[in-house]
Amino acid sequence: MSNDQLVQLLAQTALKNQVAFSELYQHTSSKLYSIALRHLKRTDWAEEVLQECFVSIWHRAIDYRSGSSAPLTWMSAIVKNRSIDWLRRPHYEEPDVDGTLTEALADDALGPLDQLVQTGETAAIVRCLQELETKQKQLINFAFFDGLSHSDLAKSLKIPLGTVKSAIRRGLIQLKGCLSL
Amino acid sequence: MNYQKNTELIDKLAAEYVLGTLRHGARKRFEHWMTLDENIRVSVYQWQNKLYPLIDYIPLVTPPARVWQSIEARLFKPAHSTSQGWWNTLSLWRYLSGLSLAASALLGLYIAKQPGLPLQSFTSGQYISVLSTAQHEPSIIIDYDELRQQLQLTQLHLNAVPPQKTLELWSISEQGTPVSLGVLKNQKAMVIALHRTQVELLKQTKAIAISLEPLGGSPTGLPTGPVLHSGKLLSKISAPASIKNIS
Repeated sequence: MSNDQLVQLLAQTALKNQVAFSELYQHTSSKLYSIALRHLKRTDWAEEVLQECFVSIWHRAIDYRSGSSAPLTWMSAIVKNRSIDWLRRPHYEEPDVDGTLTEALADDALGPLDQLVQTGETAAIVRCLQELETKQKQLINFAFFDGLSHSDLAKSLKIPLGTVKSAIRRGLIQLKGCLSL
Repeated sequence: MNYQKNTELIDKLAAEYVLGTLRHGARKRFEHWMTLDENIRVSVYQWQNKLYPLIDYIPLVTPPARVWQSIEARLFKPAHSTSQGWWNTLSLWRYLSGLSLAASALLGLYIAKQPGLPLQSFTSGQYISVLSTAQHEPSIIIDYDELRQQLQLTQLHLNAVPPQKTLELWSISEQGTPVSLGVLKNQKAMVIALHRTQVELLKQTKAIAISLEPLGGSPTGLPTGPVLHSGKLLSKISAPASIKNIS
């Protein structure tokens, strides 16, 4: 579904059109659910977050500005932010229930980015990420896709907290330079 | 430090916010600044537009059908209690319209009978509303402190908030739309600091209500729990009415 069509569906949702809202759900829920799942690593939590986010999208569709971001970016940000909030909850334990994250971190894997390299993807952000040092790439990757905080990253990768912070900071500056070209 | 004028710092914070590594209080404060400053919002949008294309590379997982069923049940099923917000119900408005005078009168009597009440705590600012419980008992007095731009709440009876729950204050417009004024951090410091847009909002507020919400406040941006206290705004912000006149 094109950006323009999604903008239309969001506009209709803002007007409280239930049919448009259900269509919006059909076209975006898989993507949004996979973001939540990637952050929370538990299907029950991801389902709850997805539900809350769509309720929120129903109420907040009127705030969406097509000139500022693409519809999917706007909706994805709602899900990512809600997932990060969820990670702060008192009942929250560890994201890595089955150990896959520790495993992935141990062997320098890049998570979803591995697939990008294999498919020869050329999106600007991917090209720019490839130019970073492996450690920076890995830190930015796990922070973005998995919602790991500075201290989560320091603990999992056994790197001092200050090093994590400065590596991410330098990586972001480098990305900014690369993306503005 | 003046964050809003420091472009480099804004950019740094926006990048970490979008990446997800800006956390806890810093994240909340940054979100608050976003609501106040267009430059900060622009910086966030720029970073989102740069980084979010990465989301295309997360393998898609289809959520189970029950997620949509719950969303529908929550938003559209008429039998469901949240399908029509309490703030839209006619009875609430009938109730509120009769309430303000009664509440003022009762409050006067109440204060007269309670010499021990810490009067100074609600004479410091501008008294704007008396909230009552569902049983029509005056329960909370709200002062507006213009200098500090904050609302001071004084409870007439102490009611414990259940664990894992919090009280959230709502401004209700003439049209009946609730907008959050903030969450009460704890029952000892019943103060809510307002930002500029909320002060503006207060000028168009018809009534104030307090609902019981999950910790951190309503996840939906609208009240989800029961209303424990509500009352009309008795005086406009610009036209003070002192509690001293009543007591």
